[in-house]
Amino acid sequence: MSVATQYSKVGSVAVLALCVFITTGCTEKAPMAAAESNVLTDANIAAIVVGANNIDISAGNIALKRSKNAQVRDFAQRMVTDHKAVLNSAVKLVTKLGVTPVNNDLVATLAKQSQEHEKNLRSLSGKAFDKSYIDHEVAYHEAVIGVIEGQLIPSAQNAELKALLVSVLPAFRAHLEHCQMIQKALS
Amino acid sequence: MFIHVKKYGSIVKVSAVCLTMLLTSLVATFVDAGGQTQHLVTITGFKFVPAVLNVERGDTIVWVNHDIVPHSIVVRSSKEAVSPVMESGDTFTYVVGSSLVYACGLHPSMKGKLAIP
Ligand SMILES: [Cu+2]
Repeated sequence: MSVATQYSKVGSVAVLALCVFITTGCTEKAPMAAAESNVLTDANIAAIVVGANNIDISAGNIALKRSKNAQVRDFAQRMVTDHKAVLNSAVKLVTKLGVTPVNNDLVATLAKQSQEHEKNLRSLSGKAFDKSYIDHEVAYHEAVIGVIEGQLIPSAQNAELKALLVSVLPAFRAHLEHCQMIQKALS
Repeated sequence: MFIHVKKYGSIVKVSAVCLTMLLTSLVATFVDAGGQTQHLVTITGFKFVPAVLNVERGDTIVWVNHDIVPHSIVVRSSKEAVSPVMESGDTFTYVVGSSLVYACGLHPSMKGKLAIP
């Protein structure tokens, strides 16, 4: 399964009756569809945000151990530093709000896909590793941006949680552009 | 820059600081008491705001990092460092010597420009 199709499934888990943004490319309409099938609680959203950041920190740490490419290593270090900062601010907010993260199918799917990806990464080295890591980072950031915009922001009940989700989008977008640049350089 | 208000006592000094903070939060460019032109570039939401500034040689630029992650300033073409890494809340002050086409050294999608007309 390609990384893109693998992550298109992430979107289909939480939103039923949907327009799956990655495969169909209808990102603009996704927020409305998600708002109508509002199945995510703030506790679920907290778990997704924590899980999504942890996954990227973990992959970044593997890349720092295995990659010898300076561009890839710089990017991996950025993922570790930036996603830790986003994670810390999210944890701080949900603690303040008294929200206890509750896992759902989306979190489970993300975790399972991450484990498979990490197992694959650990079997690779050199250029094959760099390509796999970067290709996955591109697909992952695209998918997470889609989930935040299409599902998390429309579903968030608490205004501060919604504001946090809006405020983390530029980080994910900057990271996406960054890994797309590296993807081009590697090919 | 607050030396001139010292003789009026601490209350005046505090309000001068408050006023300066208010001004810097509202406008990007102002002339300080010494006649020096200062420009504020806010780093927020992974953007330099304003991204393009018209400046003169000798002007002072202050970058303020309002994001929760670190950023830095590098020459866009050569990647040569202009600033050290600015952690969240850090500022970096720079005196304009020539036009500068820059980027963030950590996030290459973040771009800015200091243009001398
Ligand atoms: Cu940056």
